[in-house]
Amino acid sequence: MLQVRDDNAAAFEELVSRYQARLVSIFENMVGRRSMAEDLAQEVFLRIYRARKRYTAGSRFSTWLYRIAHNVASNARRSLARRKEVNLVAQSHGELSAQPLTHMVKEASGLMPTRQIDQIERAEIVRAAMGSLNDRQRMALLLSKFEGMSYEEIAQSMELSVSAIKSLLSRARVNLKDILAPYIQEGILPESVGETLNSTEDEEGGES
Amino acid sequence: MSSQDKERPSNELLNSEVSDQDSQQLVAYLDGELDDQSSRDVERRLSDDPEFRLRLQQLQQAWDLLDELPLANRDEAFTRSTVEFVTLNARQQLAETKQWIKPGKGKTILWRLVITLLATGLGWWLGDWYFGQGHREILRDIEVISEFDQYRLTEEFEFLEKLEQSGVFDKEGASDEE
Repeated sequence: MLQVRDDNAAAFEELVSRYQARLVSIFENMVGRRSMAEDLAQEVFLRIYRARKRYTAGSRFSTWLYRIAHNVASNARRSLARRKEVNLVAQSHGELSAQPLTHMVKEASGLMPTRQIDQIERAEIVRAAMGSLNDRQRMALLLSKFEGMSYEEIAQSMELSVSAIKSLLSRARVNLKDILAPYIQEGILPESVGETLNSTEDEEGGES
Repeated sequence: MSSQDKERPSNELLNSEVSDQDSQQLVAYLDGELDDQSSRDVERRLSDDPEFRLRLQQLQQAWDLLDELPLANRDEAFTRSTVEFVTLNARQQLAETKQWIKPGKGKTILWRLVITLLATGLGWWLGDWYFGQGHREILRDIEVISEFDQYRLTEEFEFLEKLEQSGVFDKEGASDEE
């Protein structure tokens, strides 16, 4: 980052290459759409480039990066809410959005091994469970899980106290556990996923 | 309502607070965020309390399921498009900045600033000259005005002038200062 600050273009390209996938993953799980996640990641890199002269050597780059990412994600969620497009994560997204779960499972049953079908179902269930958390809980959880950040680092990135992060993560994981418990214990789909499946089946029934 | 019914909500609240604290401890333990002593306390309780152990397992299982979430892969095309996007934006910003500070425009702004300052200065000076005349006269006569009651008692002005020349007022002034 220090080289980027000194206007080294190659260093900036390296930085984008190194962090883009991680940022897109975080955003995809925050806003629910791959294309939007990529737009937001680009927005973050643009902000970093514009603010490069203000970067100080003492601060950890990833903490700075995810602070910007958190602000960009919050703004995006606010504008989504204004456009009444909330709860995107609870819905299917990306490639999955075009193919609802039941459809996919039916289609896949002839082509894929059972293990892969289970994997798709699990991914959908976890995504739905994540969608039921609030923005802060989700962000803290993603930073903890995929970035391996400590409470201190998450607190700096989200501009909250360490004790607030401790409580936030605890509530997030308890919520997640409660939502996923029926699936883990008895293989029962969580309500939100069940509703999606039922509505899809109804639509398909109506069409036929 | 019986006393048992009254106590129930407060007990439930207390239980939920204890449960929250337990959850925080368990999550912090799983995240490796507890100090040695707290970790030992949690481990001791885990070995003694099956329910506590079950909660830990459930939290861990839910955490492990997060591995199923989609993760993006590194994409060279996306890197290129991001760098191009940022470069384009930086160029636009530079062009806008240059447009704003280009020589002709800068000169015009400077002239406007000078004229505004001159007009403000002139206006202030004229206003002060026109409206300040009365005030200046009062300031000039302030000494006489402040002693006006005493001057009125004296009928001859020449007598006062003679007293001043003889130094009487100087002596009085000196004794007052003492």
